[in-house]
Amino acid sequence: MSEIHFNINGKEVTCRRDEMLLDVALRHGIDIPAPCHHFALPEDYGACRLCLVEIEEERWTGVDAACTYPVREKCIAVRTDTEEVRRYRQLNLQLLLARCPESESVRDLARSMDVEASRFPGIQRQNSDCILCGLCVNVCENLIGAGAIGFVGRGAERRVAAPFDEPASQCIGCGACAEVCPTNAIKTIETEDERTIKPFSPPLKLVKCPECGKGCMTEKQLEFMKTQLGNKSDVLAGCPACKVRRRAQEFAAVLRGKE
Amino acid sequence: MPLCMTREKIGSPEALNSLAGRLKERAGGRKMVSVCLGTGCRAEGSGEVYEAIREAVGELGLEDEVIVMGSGCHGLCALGPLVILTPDDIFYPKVSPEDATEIIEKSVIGSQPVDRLLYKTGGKTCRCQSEVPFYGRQERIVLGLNGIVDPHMIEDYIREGGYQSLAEVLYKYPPEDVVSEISASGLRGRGGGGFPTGRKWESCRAVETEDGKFVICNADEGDPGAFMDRSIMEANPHTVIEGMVIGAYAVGAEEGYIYIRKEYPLALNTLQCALEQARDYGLLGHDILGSGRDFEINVARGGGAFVCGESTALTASIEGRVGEPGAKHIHTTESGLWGRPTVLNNVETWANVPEIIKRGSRWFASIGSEGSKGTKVFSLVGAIKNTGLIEVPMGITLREIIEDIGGGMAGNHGFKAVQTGGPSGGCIPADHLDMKVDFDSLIEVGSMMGSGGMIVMDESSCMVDVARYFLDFLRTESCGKCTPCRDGTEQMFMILDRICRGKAGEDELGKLEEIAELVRETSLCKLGSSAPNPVLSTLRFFRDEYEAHIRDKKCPAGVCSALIEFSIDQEKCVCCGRCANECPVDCIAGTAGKPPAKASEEDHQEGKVGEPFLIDVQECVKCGSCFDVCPTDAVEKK
Repeated sequence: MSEIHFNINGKEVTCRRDEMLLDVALRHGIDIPAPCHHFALPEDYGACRLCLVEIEEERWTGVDAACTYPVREKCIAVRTDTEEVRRYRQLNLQLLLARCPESESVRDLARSMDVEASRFPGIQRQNSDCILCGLCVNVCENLIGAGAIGFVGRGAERRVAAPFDEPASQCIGCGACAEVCPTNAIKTIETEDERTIKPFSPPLKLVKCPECGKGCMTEKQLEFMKTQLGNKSDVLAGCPACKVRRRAQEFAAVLRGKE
Repeated sequence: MPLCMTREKIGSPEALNSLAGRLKERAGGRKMVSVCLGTGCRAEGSGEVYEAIREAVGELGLEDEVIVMGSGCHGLCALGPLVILTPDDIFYPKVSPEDATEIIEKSVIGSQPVDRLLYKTGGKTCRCQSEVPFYGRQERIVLGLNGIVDPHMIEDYIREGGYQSLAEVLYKYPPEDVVSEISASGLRGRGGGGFPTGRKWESCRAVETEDGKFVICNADEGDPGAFMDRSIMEANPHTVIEGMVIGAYAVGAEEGYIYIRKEYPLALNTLQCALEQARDYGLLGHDILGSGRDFEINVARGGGAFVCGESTALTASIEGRVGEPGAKHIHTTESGLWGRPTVLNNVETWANVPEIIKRGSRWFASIGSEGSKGTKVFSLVGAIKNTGLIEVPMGITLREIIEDIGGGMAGNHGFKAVQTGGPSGGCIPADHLDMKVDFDSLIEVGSMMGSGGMIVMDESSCMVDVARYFLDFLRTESCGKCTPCRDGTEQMFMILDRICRGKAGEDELGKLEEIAELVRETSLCKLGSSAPNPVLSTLRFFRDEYEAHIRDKKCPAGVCSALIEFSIDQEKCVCCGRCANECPVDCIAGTAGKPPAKASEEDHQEGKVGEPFLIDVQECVKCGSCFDVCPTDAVEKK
């Protein structure tokens, strides 16, 4: 695989052909706001348009999203902090702020880019902190493989939902969506016996850890993982903390045996 | 020709030739009545006309001598149902079922035109289609066989020389020569982008792969008021199929898709019938024309989302995923449908291919303007006389299209603007009417070719309202994936809506321009980046109209109901009372009778004198019914 050399803000960088520009920048310590990017997901969705940068190619110069721009030989230079780039990012943030005026994360992000308030009236119709970045849908479908939630509606009516707006029957309650959500619009709520992924899942029964007795994963999650892992499913027994402790004890025993 | 003739595989170009010869011979000497069964004429009742003519032919016992054919769109939709007689070359507009017997007896048997049925314009009577000014300025390459072939009979297409280009290509040209022929012709994509077709084919052909390649026909025409592609598929589906098979051979694809929208049941039906017949003859499928080449076409039906006309959304939809666009830095020709090299062209582009092969790239390149070769099909609609489907050489002026072909404005109002390029195109004002119509000139004035919608507007249109209408369409058709398109078009619509309601502040125009720039520059796909066009082009040419709405709270065209008021000129009112009868909210009061100014002493004594009518402005809902019915224009709109 050939190597590509170009510069970001004057700094020489190197990457693989077709590596995404955002990944290259982050790897080289160049900060670009990217709420809809998550390291755990193999492919970016390109939705929020905050990672805009100015790209200079051999025959074109313009603004584009860094997260979905595959770097090839024609890319010469990238500038992440031009007046135009700043203005576009700020405007897109104002649009998001008009959508989620209550969201702490969006407001923090806005403040970090010198945006205090949106100049546009609110357009939220379902009163949520969701900025429609798509991470939850992406992680559920492509990484977990459950496919419990998806986008519904078009245009400003778009939102993330479970089929027919009923409690998601495919949801295994793993909580990955809540984990990747950049605005905390999805929450994992746990009682002693049940876990609910708000606002998608029904209350899901927890499996108790055979050692400490605490709820460690939902029954559906265990079932789902067993079908995924086949006969290796014995590694699933126990909660993460107890598993770590057990491993540590085993390791310690080995060390002691060596003494 | 009997419908149930057996179709056997044609194994060589010679066999195709001999079949064409036999079909020509069989048709020779027979008279033909072609009834337009395109959607426009059907709506005007051409189905009944077709049946009536068949019946008349049956009653006279002429089934063997006269062919009655239901054809695709003839073009002049404003005057449907249309009927053409060949070989006598007689053209009848607005035919009704009652005319059937007279047409058969006098024109088909007697070869004489029925004068009262002929088209008359400007004191001239037109006997045949070419004498009608609407057709006179056109150059019909893609639409050339409309009205001549029955779209449900592949034999008609073969008789007229169809699939000869395919035979020639398969047996005489190596694939790279086909690509260079298309490149040399200067053909550019007719779907909107105007990308050089030859270059697209070449980059797909050049990719080496063992996984196979695809060709796709984009039949997802989604612009409101556009019906070019639908009409081509309904009238002459084989030219699209032949174009695709040639393209597949050129780039090395063995499988193709036609992506057709759900709202086109007639086109879908015609197309499926055509595919079936092409397979029967071995012009599609395994071992095409005995050449050893295979190519199959599948039909994929879209759900009707406008965004699915965008290439990445379209391929996603075929793959069974949500029809939303993705970033497009790597060309479809390299990685398209299921990640394989794919050529995606629209219906009209494919339909041009057989003629280019048949008549040569030099011939094609001789038509049109500097950067835009060949012809373009437009659906010409709006406030003009001759609405319909037209095909004109690139480089023709807007004025020629609107005045010569369109026959000028239909109502009493003057020309105001023409909207080209579909919902995300732009509005072009009167002082640009002499500009050339081609890809580059349209972009220069802030509009675009798009797929070929052309909407003519007169002075009764409010340009702010027009921009608001298109933004309303675009904001709801935005897939909602990226922030600027989803929320930016929504905010733009909200500002336009406020302007139309007289609620916008002075700073809103600046805001509107600011978001328009953001949406254009930072959206993910073409839907977003072209969505501000209707706003930016109307702002460029009709800024004073925006300012009148904002500053003076007036709608100069009298469209935006919040900004207009109806009143009745008491001098002009003739006391007929029609306005009061029409008013849905009973807010017009007065007494019907003779107008006081014209009443005699006697009328007064007999109590026949009326009292001029008045509108209660507080109650008025501004529906305009009174304005429409007033016989003396006494109702004023300000």
